[in-house]
Amino acid sequence: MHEPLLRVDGLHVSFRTHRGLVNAVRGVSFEVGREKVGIVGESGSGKSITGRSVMRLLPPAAEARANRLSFRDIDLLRASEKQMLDIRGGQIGLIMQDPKYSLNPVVRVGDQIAEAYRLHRGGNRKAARASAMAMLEAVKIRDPERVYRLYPHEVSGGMGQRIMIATMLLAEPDLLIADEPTSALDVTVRLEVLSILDELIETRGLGLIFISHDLNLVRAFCDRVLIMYAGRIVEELPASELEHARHPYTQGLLAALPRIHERRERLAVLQRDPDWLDGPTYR
Amino acid sequence: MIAVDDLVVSFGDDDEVKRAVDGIGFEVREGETFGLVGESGCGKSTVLRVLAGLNPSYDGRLRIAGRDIGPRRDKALMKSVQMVFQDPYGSLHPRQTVNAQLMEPLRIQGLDDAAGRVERALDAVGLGPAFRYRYPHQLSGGQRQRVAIARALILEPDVLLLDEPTSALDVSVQAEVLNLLADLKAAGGLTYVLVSHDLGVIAHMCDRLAVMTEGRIVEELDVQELVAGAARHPYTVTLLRASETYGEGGVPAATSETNEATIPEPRKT
Amino acid sequence: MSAGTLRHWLNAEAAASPFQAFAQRAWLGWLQLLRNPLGMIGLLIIVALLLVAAFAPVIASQSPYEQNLRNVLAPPSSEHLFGTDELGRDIFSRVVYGSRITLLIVLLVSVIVAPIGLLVGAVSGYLGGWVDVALMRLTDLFLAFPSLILALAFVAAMGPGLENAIIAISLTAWPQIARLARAETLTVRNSDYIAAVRLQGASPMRVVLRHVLPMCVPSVIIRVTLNMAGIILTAAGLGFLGLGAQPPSPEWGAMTSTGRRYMLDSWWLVTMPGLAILTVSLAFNLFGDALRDILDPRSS
Ligand SMILES: Nc1ncnc2c1ncn2[C@@H]1O[C@H](COP(=O)(O)OP(=O)(O)O)[C@@H](O)[C@H]1O
Ligand SMILES: Nc1ncnc2c1ncn2[C@@H]1O[C@H](COP(=O)(O)OP(=O)(O)O)[C@@H](O)[C@H]1O
Ligand SMILES: [Mg+2]
Ligand SMILES: [Mg+2]
Repeated sequence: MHEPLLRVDGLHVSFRTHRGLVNAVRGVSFEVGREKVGIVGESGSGKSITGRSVMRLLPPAAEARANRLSFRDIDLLRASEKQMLDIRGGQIGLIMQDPKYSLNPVVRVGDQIAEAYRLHRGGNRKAARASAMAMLEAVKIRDPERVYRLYPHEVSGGMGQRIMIATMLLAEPDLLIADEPTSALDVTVRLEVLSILDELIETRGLGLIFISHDLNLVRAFCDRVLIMYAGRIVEELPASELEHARHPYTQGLLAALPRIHERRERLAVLQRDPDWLDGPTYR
Repeated sequence: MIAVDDLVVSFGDDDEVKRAVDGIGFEVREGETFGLVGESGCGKSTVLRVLAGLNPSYDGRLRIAGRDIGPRRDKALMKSVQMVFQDPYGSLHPRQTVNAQLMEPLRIQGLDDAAGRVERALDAVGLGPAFRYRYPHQLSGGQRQRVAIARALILEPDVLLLDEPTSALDVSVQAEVLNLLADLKAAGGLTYVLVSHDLGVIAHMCDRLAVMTEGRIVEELDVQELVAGAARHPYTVTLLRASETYGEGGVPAATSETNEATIPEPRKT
Repeated sequence: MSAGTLRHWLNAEAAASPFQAFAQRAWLGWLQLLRNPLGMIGLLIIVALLLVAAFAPVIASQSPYEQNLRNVLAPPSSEHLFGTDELGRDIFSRVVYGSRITLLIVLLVSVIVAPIGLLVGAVSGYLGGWVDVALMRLTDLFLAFPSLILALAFVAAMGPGLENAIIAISLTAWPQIARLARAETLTVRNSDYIAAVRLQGASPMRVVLRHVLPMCVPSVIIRVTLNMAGIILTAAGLGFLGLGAQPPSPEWGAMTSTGRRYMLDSWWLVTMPGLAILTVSLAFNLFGDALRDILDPRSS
């Protein structure tokens, strides 16, 4: 395997609230190379907080500590804010669930892509525009000339997510963090966006952290899967081995899925075991 | 139980009319679970809102329980059709306790033994009395959806309209809610209309389904037919293939936008 | 109940009664207020105002009307804390009694303005259509005039006096509240929880009163509290122009008005009631800001 891009060791994140300290992430360790790593778990299990810790984009009430949190040879915990600005969107890209919140509503989408290009790569307007256009084509937008001139509210969810991917990839990052990038999309559109993401990642050899609550999606899309439960990784395994997961939580999640070709009277309901909170991690 | 004939719903004013529902018809038999599938914006929620009586401006014929229904409904009729909404975070009143929200329908309909009914309703959806005086912000998504189901069922309706009831929930919670819905129906006397974009959910819950695109029903079939691959309309086939791709691994080759309109209609809220 | 069990009761995960649920909410709000020093200052001043008004006879050193023509325009001293006015009345006592009038104005205006504004705004926003158009034109009509001018015109027509001043101020204050309540209503009327009660067969009036209004109340309370400063100032302005409370009433605005003639050599006549107006309106402003942080539904 390649040399890891991102190393996370013993990451803890806690929030100060009026009811006391909330430990959102409790000792998470993993590495990401030039591969597609999925993080799955139910809502509140700490997936987004883990992703945001890497970008150092935590809310002010949060406090993060780790034995190690490094991207290549940069210590992300100690990096200056200036260094982080360069890393965010430059070397690590972030794609979020709803592109509407990530795009500036009053600037044409093409101009936003071009602006992102100039920010990270410099160059004149004309070159930026040409690159933006090429990028729109790379995310399989059929009529880039027309789409370039649209405003964010004029594009559909799937198109918006393609544009976000284009914006993120222009800076040629090495690692992409996608937080539920397709959860707001229709099933058919979802597959199209995923296949575009897949193709671009393969051809450019990027690393990807794919955060999702959808086990099926991650199984189909990723190389490796981390299962999170209550702020910890309880199981880590190759996506192809998911069917043979050993942790009862992972098994429970799989059994709870309704299947098209397997009609059952009742769906299996997850029986939560308090031991999972601090139990072993299956690797 | 429900018969819809040539239903048309339009939005917008004179110079820019948009037909959200464009002449659809279907029948739902008593005691059945009828699925409604289609991409977002194709008019599924609009159909449900007409059935529920929330949208009085429609054209077409509507029969519920053998009665012709006009745009205006009386209290008794309102009681017989209830709905569970998609977003559990928006469907409960943020400033009322669970108790207040369950008492309200009983007061409106003037039913007796309100306290007992509330207790039994909470029990039926698997929430103990401990949840009775909580505010929605003290509940998880799955618990909220249970309260919403309790609120709909406390009036003992004949028809329950379910608008993507589990799409905002985790799979583990989805399984609990779907099981709950199945149990409640098994207890008797309910007819479901279930909207979902997840064919797995539809296949699990429904007897028959209709597939919608752009305000029209393009195909109506039994779930067995769907599962056996007997769907004929290209959209149904694409949808089925997309849903199956998940389970079997592998993502198909990249394509240009196909099913997606490049410029959506302006959204109105 | 001991302090420990009370705290436990307030922080309990699940409430066991409607009252406990309500108390828990109030307790959370209180904790939030404690963390807002400016808001606490505002609240303390308002509480002090209430106490002063309640115990005015005890606090004041003499009657606010008692004249002493041999000791007019005396500067502040240990005997007359705020000095005396042109008729030898003790200004401190007058300011203390004046707090009752100020409170009366504040109370009456909020009791009149909030319900009218809420109802007009919520009905207008919820029903829409021609009702909305008619009610909103009406509010526009009132909004079109500067509030002091409208109040002036009203008082001029009805005659000067405290009651008329209060009615006049209320007339100018409700349209803003109505606008606010309407905007709030527009955001909640299409929500699913409103659809759910409509499905249960609730009449439009029931939906508005029991389900829409509670959503507007917090922002209206905030607005009324913030407006209170303006209302106190308008009341003082009317008093100052001789159109509000009439002499010898110790209304703060009227006091500044009469004191104005002696401003150059007897500064305390204007300054003391003026400071009272300033302090109290500032307090309402600070408290209103804190309330916004606590009550605003968008913050939770
Ligand atoms: N701003 C916050 N204040 C307090 N707790 C928070 C905050 N944001 C997140 N949390 C806590 O962190 C946990 C993990 O959140 P998150 O990473 O967003 O979950 P998810 O796996 O759904 O992405 C949640 O259970 C929540 O309690
Ligand atoms: N109140 C409304 N005003 C205007 N347009 C609406 C309204 N409600 C729905 N629409 C439009 O009708 C179409 C169908 O919407 P909807 O029934 O919500 O779709 P679905 O539930 O299938 O996602 C959409 O194009 C939507 O923009
Ligand atoms: Mg998340
Ligand atoms: Mg819908």
